Amino acid sequence: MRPLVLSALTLLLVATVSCQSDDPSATEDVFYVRHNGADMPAYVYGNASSNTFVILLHGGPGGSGLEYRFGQYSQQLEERYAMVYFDQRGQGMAQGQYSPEDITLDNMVDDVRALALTLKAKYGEDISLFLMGHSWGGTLGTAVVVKEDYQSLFKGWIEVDGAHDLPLTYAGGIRLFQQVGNDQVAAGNSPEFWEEILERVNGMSTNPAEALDEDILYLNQKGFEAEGYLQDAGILYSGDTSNLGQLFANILVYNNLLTSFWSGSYTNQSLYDKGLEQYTATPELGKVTIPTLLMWGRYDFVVNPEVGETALQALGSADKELVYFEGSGHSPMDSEPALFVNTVITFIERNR
Amino acid sequence: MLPGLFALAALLPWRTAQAQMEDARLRANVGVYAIMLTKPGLRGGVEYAFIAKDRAPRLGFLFNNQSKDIHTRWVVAPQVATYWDPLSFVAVQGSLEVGRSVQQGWGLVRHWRVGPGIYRAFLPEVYTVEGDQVTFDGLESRQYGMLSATFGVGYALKESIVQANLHAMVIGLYNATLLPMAGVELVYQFDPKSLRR
Repeated sequence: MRPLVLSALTLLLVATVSCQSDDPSATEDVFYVRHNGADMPAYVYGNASSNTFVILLHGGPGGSGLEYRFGQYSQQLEERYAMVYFDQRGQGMAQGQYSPEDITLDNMVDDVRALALTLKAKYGEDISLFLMGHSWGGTLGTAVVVKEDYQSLFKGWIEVDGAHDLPLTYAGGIRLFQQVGNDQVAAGNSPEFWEEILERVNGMSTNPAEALDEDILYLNQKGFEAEGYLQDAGILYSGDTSNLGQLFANILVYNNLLTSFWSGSYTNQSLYDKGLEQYTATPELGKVTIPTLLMWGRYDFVVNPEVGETALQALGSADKELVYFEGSGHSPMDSEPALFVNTVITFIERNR
Repeated sequence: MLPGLFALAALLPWRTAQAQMEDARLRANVGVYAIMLTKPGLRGGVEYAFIAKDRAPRLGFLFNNQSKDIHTRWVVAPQVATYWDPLSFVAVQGSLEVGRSVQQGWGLVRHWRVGPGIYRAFLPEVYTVEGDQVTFDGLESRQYGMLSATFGVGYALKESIVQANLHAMVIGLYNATLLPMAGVELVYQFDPKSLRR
């Protein structure tokens, strides 16, 4: 009986991990990084023979790596490079046994370093590693490159609408709502929606120390809603709807929606309970000397462009650049995939 | 009248086999399983009745005959299950559930069971990182405690019962908290002695 059970288990595992393509350059690889009590999956897709790996840090906190594998941008980047979609501690399909005190930004920073070391151990010390983070992934990625000598692991840092300065994310968000709201009311575009927002944000303090939790939540929620109204007004591009089947499979089949939601929500709350809303990396950005590419949607209300502008000034890198996506909100990879891919490829080719 | 007699005659061996099934203290069950509808798996085990009793229904003379007694069982049920994530891992669960099942004379079965268990996740390729050191561990696993509950309905066939169940679990400590999980299962329950007949 025992050999039978072991054989069945082996077969299942082989079936699980044998999603290899016939094309050696089209890597489909899944492995776990075990670090500080957490087992975190890394999904590697794309052209590993390029020897260039891009670690993509998902948003949230509470998202998952495979949510970012959809549409033209990931398809085209995978043709050039190996994309590493990583489920961070307590999110996506990551699992483990640790205490709530272990859910900290600093531990997550060390997890990313552990992933980078693992990629080098697995694929070779000579691979070129780039770190890319979107939204909360920008918070995490920035915290990585400002810690000790961690940036030396990477050939470059790519921040996409990243929230590395949460007080400024709040205050600048109010200012952006006021500016765009007034413009939209004057233009007669959905005035009821914008007037309601203006009434609320005009009553908020722009001092982050006085920010109320419900105001922070309101700005975040309305930020996504506002993008829809700006699309209706023809100001923003709509999202990339190609390959939606892949996105649904990634969210529903390769993820466990309940696990991801439950763990992610708990991790999110744990981080905010420890004061995440006061986190800012701006004073430390002078330490960053590796090439850095900042990409921002011009109409990103969730993480407003002021955050990118102050980062550009503060970064210590000789090679640094801020690229705006004029027809985008919080996710330019989704709304302007061609420009996004070209910008990323140009940056990586220059630095790999 | 005549068709009624034929129908009754046709039911007789069925009722006899059903009675044998009802008499079986030990029943086995095998089933297919789907966590969150998208993760396929298998589930099986046995169910032993430590209390089994029949009583007549209170529905009146029309249904009140010996062959249609309500059959109640208090059971203990060791169960094992496995499911696999299409990309990343295989989970194996074991539980010891205790509960009750009630079979109506006309075949409907309602049942529930609840009990403790273990949940073990097998991860196919693990790298452990400590400081600057990366170690390839290959296949690794991680074990969690679990509270398991099964609820469902079934229908008694000739020598078996088919069931549709909801299997709910609370797993912990998983990522520093308790994790709820749920799956649906289709189960075939039978008297293991019937395999020798």
